[in-house]
Amino acid sequence: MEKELEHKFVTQLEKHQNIIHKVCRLYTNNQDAHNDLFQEVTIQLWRAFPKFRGEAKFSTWMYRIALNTAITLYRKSKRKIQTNDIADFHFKIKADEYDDTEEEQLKLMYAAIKQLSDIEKALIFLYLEEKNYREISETMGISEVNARVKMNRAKGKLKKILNP
Amino acid sequence: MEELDILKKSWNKETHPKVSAEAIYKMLLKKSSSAVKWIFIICLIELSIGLISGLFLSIESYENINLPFWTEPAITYSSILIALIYSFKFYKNYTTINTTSSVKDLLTNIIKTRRTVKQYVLINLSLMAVLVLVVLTYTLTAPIGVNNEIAFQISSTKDYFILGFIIVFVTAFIIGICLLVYFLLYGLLMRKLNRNYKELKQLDL
Repeated sequence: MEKELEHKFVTQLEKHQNIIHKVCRLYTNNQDAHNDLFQEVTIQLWRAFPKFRGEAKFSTWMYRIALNTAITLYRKSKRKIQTNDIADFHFKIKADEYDDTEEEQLKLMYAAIKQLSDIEKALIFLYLEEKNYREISETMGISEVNARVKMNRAKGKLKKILNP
Repeated sequence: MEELDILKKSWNKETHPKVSAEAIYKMLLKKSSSAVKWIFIICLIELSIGLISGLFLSIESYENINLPFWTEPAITYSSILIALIYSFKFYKNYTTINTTSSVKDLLTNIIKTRRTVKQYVLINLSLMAVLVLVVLTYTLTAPIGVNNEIAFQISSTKDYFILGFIIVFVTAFIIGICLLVYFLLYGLLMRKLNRNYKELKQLDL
């Protein structure tokens, strides 16, 4: 029974792992921290999995736990050196058409997001994931109006960081 | 916001090194390093120290000091009662913690649980302060030992002040050290949780 549950979980997680990677992308600064957070989210998901009844989609359920882990449960490991070097970070954009300027803009954008608070990062993450304000308010536990207010503030803050 | 829209466009195209099923299986065996885990371990230690000390400490100690008759049973029963009440409250709060809750609910429940144990420790420290005050007063002013010696002879009002000062200073020092260690320990563990909780709470004001 346990083996069956484990297999089901691993298959689903393997399929939807990009959600965790994207959360790690916003909340960590280097590959070691990324791997650490990925592992912690996986552990928390596995712990909560027996209670997952399939009422929500597996991916929706993952959003909550991954964000909760990044905001609430995750503690940066002191063993590893924390760097803020975006260039060191291993990520690729699928080779569509993009030029150097766009890549540069993206790097600046990521660096600006890293300066936001944990809560603001979560809002930006949900915005990038194209969640509507109802879903954002449910995930964060705030009203839709407040989610909108906070989102506008986070965007304003980003704009200020990018254009001081 | 133009820059954010550029990011949005590339967001779903980003790829990361794929974690294999085998690696995921291995991760399931690893231990969580979450801050909350440590908060709960310390909470449980605090609760058990309170319970154990309530049961054993007062039975063994202070036998040589001629304390008022009510001191020992009062301390023993009140600390056991307090430990039991708070263990129950802690357990009840703990069971409401759920990682699938909204971010705010999860933070609220963790902070509520933490607050319960904080209250418990403060009550225990207050009890300890009363105990230290009583023990010090009796040790210094009542006849003790084989020769029934009195450590501090009071002969004037000034002596009362000096005695009062010594007792209050020693009590404050002991409690102060306990509080300092306590708040340093939790200050570090709770910093991130408190900051994020405050940010979400401020929105509702």
